[in-house]
Amino acid sequence: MTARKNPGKKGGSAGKAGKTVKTTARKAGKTAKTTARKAGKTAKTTARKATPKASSPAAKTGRAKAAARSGRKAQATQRRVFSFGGGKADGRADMKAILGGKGANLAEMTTLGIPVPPGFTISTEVCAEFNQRGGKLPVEVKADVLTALANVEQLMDRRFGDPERPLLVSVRSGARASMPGMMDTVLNLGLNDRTVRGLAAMADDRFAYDSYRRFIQMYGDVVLGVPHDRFEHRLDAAKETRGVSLDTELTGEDWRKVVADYLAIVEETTGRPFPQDPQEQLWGAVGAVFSSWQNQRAIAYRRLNDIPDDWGTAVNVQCMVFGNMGDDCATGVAFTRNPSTGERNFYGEYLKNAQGEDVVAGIRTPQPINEESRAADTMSLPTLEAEMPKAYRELVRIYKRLEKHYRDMQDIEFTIQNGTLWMLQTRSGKRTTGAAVRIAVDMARERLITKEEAILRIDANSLDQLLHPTIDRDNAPPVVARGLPASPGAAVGEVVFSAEHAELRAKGGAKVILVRTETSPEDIVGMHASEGILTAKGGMTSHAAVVARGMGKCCVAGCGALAINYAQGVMRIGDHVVKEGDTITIDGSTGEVMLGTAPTVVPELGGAFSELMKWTDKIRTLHVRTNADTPEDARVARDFGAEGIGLCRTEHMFFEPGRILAVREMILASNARAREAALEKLLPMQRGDFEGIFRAMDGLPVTVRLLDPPLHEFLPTSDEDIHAVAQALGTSVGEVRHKLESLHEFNPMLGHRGCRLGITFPEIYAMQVRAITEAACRVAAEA
Amino acid sequence: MRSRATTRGSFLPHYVDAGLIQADPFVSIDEEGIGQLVRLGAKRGRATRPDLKLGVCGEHGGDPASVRFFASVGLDYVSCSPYRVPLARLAAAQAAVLVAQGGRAA
Repeated sequence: MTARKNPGKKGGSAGKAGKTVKTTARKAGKTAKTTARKAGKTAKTTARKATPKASSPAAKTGRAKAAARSGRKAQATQRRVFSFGGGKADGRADMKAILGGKGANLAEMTTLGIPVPPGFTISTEVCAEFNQRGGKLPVEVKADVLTALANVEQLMDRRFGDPERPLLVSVRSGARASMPGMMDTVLNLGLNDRTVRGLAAMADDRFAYDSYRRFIQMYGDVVLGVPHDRFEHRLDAAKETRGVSLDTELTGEDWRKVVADYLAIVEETTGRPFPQDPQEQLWGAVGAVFSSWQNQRAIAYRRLNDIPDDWGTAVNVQCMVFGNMGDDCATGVAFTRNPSTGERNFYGEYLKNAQGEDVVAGIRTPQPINEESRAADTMSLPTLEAEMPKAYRELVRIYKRLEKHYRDMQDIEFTIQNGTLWMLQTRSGKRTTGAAVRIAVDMARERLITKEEAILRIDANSLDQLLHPTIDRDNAPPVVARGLPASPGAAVGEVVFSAEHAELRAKGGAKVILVRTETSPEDIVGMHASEGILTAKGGMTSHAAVVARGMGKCCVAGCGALAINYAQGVMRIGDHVVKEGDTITIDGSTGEVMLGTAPTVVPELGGAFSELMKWTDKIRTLHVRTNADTPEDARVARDFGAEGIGLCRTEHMFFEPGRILAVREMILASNARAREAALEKLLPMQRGDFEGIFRAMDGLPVTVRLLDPPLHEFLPTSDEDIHAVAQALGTSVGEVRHKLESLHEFNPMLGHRGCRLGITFPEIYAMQVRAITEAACRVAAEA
Repeated sequence: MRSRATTRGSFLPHYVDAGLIQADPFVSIDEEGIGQLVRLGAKRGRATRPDLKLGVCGEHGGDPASVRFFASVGLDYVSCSPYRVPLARLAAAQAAVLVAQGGRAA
């Protein structure tokens, strides 16, 4: 870490794995927007003028396409609600700008024939309109939504608000760039006192009333602004009354009572009964999701990730499928390749009998989907492959199809309802830089992409992360706890227990490790400010893990041995007590936690990295040299592929502790002879430096800059130093002080330095040139 | 160096936040300003001596956007700190790919 030259760029390198993905996503988005705009413009032109004047061929094609797209002609391009379902979709993957990433990919998957619950996407353009109109949906949009909803009803053979076969929907955000967890979601929408009975008839009371209370809670929180805690307290009370600790242990009757109380809480807080009309619920949820584009955490996330405020989010309304209807149900998240290492293994986690939010929230420990996903020292839980082989095989078939289609590693979400697999999301998966390199190189070798594409897929800034240090095992303190290796790298820092403290302490220059039971989207600024993140709960796809990987931060998640007491600012790890401010070390590559500071070492770079670098060398025309002032720097740079030294500064050589006194003697000497005597001492040291550098560069060009210091940087300031110089020069302290005053400059940057110094004190450069030449001769003689 | 550090700490971050500049010009070269001087220097220098070898050293040599710019103005090399060498090699290759694809390199 100490050798890295850009400590100030630490923040800059964060979030880079995510950025690689984003860049691609953004590019696609941009193209889509341009196309959409063009098409839109052309369409308008057509509508306004019956006979358009001469136009470019591109515009003609655009117009022809726009007109041909449907019988509705020009209106087709102004569509604001896009249906998908039953193998047909209005949208496509390249329409991220208006459909958002989620909506565009749901449409694309539907067209590919992949099982996606039917639904529709309200475009990002409506978001801007909605927020400008002070939170009102345009009437035409409402009409289009109802038409699209009718289409879903037909495809699913269910009706919205029907007491016997009710259609339930999810309402989710989906911006052009992924903003995980930043905006609001409402699930199970369409439930009310009547439809809940229909749902119960399809499954059972426990499931139906649990779903209803989840809906009231989410809707209450997101749309009606009823504090989340109020519901949670009630739920805790219910569990206490029954003497149980898990939600799943409550019966249908228990849930029915919880629902009644929840409804009362809503009425009490808002002064109005909970909306029973499904349509009213729908408009409320759609509005809340559009508004959530403007919430504080979404705004903060956009700042950190350079996402423009005017993009807006789309809203996806989709038929609910349930992973929590029984033991033949499940929900999970998977990556088509390992997002941490890049290995070509299908990798994921799932929870049986659970809703999707449970996996991401990290409340229950998820099971691995297959043996490859099993973490070395975690759980011996059964895999999806073993538990639901048919659904697993189907999932494998689909992931392969998706990866081939998108030509990139995908992050997918799925739900299995009564043994039937449904895909809920696919997107380019966030990955560590190491994984990004490995995946790009592997995919080029597999001929899925070209070498050029592989090169363009890596965000150059993110390579910094590959050079992140790892822990020096031989000299590290003992491991006191182990969690999941959620995001690689090593971090040493002071413990902080809140995101706010992390931010504050980091601003003060401290290196901190954020320790939380689990993280949530409000914590991102603090996470960004931290060196690393340690959580007590949650899996490899928990919020902490996903965000840390995206930021390129080291993270250990789900470290069950931690008992954190936020109020007292302490945590217990076994017998150890760690207070806020104590130093710990975490290793995100192994999941280990250590007390105190562990020394770190720079890692070996993998085979994929050298392969990629070889490809870059064949393609590029610009040469890359290094700035190196020491043999050590020169060696490191050679190992990284430097083709010479572009700048070798000599003043740094003068700063070394054993030399600075001789340098000061030289500067402060009152005559040339005294100066030469000082220079005589410096000559062998300089020559030695150059020999080392030339040897390391092994014949490659080295550009040396002769001494160019702003003079004041060398002058002694402390009494002690002044005394030492006076003694060395055999003069008085007063004499030295006088000399120092005479050397004072108003603007040292433009003062007595560089060639000016060379003209006034030619013997300095004479010594340096001699050292360089002699060193070159000696090294040449060795070879 | 000291003055640069002061500038960066005092007002540049505010400029970036306020959108007055896109990036800290000490991190990523200001193409419209200093970048034009580099372009001019390369052009005039090579007009006098076609085989003039030109390189840039310092922070910009390790900033991908700047590296792409330097590739596009035809410099021979960039020089950066050792740990940023791989990054500069990759950025230089990306510039070459983008040029070959007909896109603008910088």
